[in-house]
Amino acid sequence: MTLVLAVAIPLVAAILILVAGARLPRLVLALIGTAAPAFTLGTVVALAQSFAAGKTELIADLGPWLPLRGADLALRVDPPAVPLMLAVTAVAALIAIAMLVDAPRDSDARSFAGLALIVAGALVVVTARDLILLVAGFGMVGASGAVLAGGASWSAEAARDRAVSLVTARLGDACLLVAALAALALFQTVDLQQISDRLAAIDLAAPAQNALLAASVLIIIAAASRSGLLPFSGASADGHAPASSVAAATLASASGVLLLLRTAGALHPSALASTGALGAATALVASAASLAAVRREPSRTSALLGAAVAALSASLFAATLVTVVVLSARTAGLVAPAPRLRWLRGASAVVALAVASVALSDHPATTTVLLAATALEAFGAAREARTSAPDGTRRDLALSVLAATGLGAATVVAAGALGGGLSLGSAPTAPSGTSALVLALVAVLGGTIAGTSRLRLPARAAAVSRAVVQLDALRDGTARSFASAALIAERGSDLVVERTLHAVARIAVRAGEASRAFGAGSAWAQEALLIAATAAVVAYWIAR
Amino acid sequence: MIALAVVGVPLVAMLVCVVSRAARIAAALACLSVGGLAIAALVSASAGLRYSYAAPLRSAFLVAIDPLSALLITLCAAVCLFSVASSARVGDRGAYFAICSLALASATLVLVARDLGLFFIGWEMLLVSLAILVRHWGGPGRDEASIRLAVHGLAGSGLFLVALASIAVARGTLDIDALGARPIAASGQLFPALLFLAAFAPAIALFPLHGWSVRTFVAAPPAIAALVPGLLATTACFGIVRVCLGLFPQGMAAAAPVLIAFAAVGAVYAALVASRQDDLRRLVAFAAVSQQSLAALALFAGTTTAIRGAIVIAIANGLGAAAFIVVGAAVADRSSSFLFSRTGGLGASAPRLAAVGALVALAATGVPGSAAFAGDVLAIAGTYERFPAAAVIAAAALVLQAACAAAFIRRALDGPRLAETSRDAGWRETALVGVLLAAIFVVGLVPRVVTDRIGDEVLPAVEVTP
Repeated sequence: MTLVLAVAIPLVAAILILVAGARLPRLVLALIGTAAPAFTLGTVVALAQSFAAGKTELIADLGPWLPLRGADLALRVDPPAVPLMLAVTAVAALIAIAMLVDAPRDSDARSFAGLALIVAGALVVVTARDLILLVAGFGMVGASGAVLAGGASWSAEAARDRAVSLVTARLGDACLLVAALAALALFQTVDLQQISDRLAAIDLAAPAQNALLAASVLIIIAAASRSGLLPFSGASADGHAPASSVAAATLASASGVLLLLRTAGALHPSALASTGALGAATALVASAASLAAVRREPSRTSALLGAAVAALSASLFAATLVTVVVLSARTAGLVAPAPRLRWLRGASAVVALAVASVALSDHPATTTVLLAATALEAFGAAREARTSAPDGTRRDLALSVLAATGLGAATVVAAGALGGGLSLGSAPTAPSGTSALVLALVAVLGGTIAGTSRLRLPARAAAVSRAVVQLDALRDGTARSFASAALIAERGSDLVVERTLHAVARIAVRAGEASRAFGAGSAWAQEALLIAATAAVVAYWIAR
Repeated sequence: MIALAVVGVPLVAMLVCVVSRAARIAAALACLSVGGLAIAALVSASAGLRYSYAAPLRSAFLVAIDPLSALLITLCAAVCLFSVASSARVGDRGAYFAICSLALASATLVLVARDLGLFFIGWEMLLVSLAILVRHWGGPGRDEASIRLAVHGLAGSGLFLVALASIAVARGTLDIDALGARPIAASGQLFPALLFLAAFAPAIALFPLHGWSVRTFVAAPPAIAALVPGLLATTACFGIVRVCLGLFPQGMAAAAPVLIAFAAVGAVYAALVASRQDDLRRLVAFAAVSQQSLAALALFAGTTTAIRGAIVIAIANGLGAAAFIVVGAAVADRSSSFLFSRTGGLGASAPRLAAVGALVALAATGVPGSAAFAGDVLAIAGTYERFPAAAVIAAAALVLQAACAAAFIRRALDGPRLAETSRDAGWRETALVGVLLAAIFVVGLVPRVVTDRIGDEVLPAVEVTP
């Protein structure tokens, strides 16, 4: 019941806001909007307590959903899922409070409903027992994130952001759906646990291996599209939205990482290994791109989520830890909009990347790349601090304190959960972890010094990174090709279809004229033809 | 008796519409009654009725209602009620609502008919009544639209009639159940299956026979345009299930690869073209064609999962297209044009209308929780069992449909406002779309209300491999 409540509370709140939000007084709307994530957090904390007390699994089965094998309305929580649920709900509660101050009045209902749907969807992604429900949760997060993209702005650019986000989200949904169906064909079930068990128990033949690899690649594409990994980095929401909306969009983006965490056991080993390179490359390129100061926040989000994906190639423990820290750090940084404290955004990114470097200390190549990304982020953060506006307001200060408190609380909860009653498998070894931490701190320090000095990263390098991470040319080219293809399809096919139909009609008319001429104008000739055709059909039937 | 009543009530309403001033009320009551009767049939067993009205032709007035029929009758009644409710200002009201009632009676006759002759009569009446509605109450281009609708429909009906006559001669009966009990040899099923399909393919807007559909959407008033996917496409889906797949499963399986290729091309093509339209009505029309093509693809795949998915898509499309049409009409009302180039920014000036419009567009693309999502998942899953490549193409069509919805949201609702003030959605528009949206999301969240009614006993009995 508690598990069902965790998903139901935000879902019901979202429906309530969507149905009656526009007519509700702002106070009531704000109460619903903030109470839902808060109650959800409380529910998840209760779940975590039961796991800390020794529970190893919790299942809520509401019965069949779709008439497919294993596609039931069933949720399942195991120890690795608990810190993720805690992180999602804690971050959502923080964002909801920030929205009270940050979101413009005319977008209250949309913001709160979007956030509640993102929370519900993310919790479904974390707890879904089968792939079809996972697709539903993933899609719910994607659509809600697209609605929030661009915030309350009605500018043409914000509209473009929302459109790109929606299409990209649906691309991910489609990939995940096909992967789920491939898994269904391969394993005769969509139950994630059963798929993992069967994968561990049997050796697949070569064709099945290929099918599994294809399905795994599709899942990685789905995750990459949602989390803004290469080559989808440019599809993330822009930074011109209110910070709370950007934070909510970040929560939506994290669903890509959550997806990979949930399906890691069912992925092909080669595909799983490739996530390390993909994540690290994204982190490095996106960190460099964030220096270009255009679309900085989406680039930072991509960098951090790239680090979390890279951690997946090391272990489930590392990936969970990094994801929790990334979510907390990112939110803390984003909901602190005071100009004077804007450096906190970069600093939180630096902390998260440093943690990722530590968690991956057993993988030297990936760690090195992530440390380079950390240094770049540190450079950017330092430069941002130097150029921050001098004035701040009490509201900004309050939000910043709130953000810092949230970050601290989330980190403490994550550390306690991961190191305490919730065993998540092997933890990183102490010596290598320490050395990586030292390296990370050196990088941060170096970056800070560089940022505060008069050294500047060459503008061209930043521009190149930005072009790579956003793939503007590719995106524009794709859009142009799409438009051209649609135009050709419309005009060309209309023309072809019209001409074909006219040709058929003309042939029919001429055939009629010919038959009339052949029959010397006698009506009986046409009737005979009709009767003969019908007789032929009847004869065919009788003969069969 | 329920089977008889769902046909008889709208026919009586039609007569009342002709002689009474309360035509709209009579038509609405007929829709409500038919919907209520269909729901009653869903929860109670209903016996059939037989009366031989044309013995020499082996045709009888044989009607029965099963859960699938009842489900689709409920949809038809709901769409027709929506159409009547949104027809506040029409000329020649008596005739208009009488023909609307006739269209509903025709659709229900198709859905309850257990005799091919009766089925044919209902089908023809439906085509003719829709063509008349478009011809007399349509806007610019109505002549061409109604002629195309009639030509596409009646050309297929000609082939239907040939198949009907040959079956009556060769098999001695037109009773669908009797024909199903004594199936034709597998090698002889292809030809009749294609003859029957020729009648249904244009109605479901199978590529390349979709042109009439777009023109009808553009020329017809919104209330009538909603009847095209709601009544015609729904009954066409039912016809394919009951007649083509039910009587000639092997023939349909033999033709499946080619038919699926057409449906897949149609789904992708229509979504692609929809996303680039400057006319709101054409966008809605092509979006509906894309969804119908997905339903057709699933039907041609022929697995029980796919057929269930196709029926859920038909329901989602019937409701979603109606909602989309209302929103489109409301947007056009605010900007005095259906062209995107003359509208935009309604999110800032009419926030409630924009919110409802965005929800409708998202529901049409099949976001989780909507009926289209459940239908798409089932349809693609069922298709994947036999035609994995087609399933992948169908999934790609979902992405293109999202591009279409994004184009609508971006160009009509988002962006800088063009007018300083626009009238927001009124209670009538909100209520109409709200009810449709509620139905869409109830079916999406609890798809068992539909899928549990489509048991194996009402689906084609044989699942074949090509």
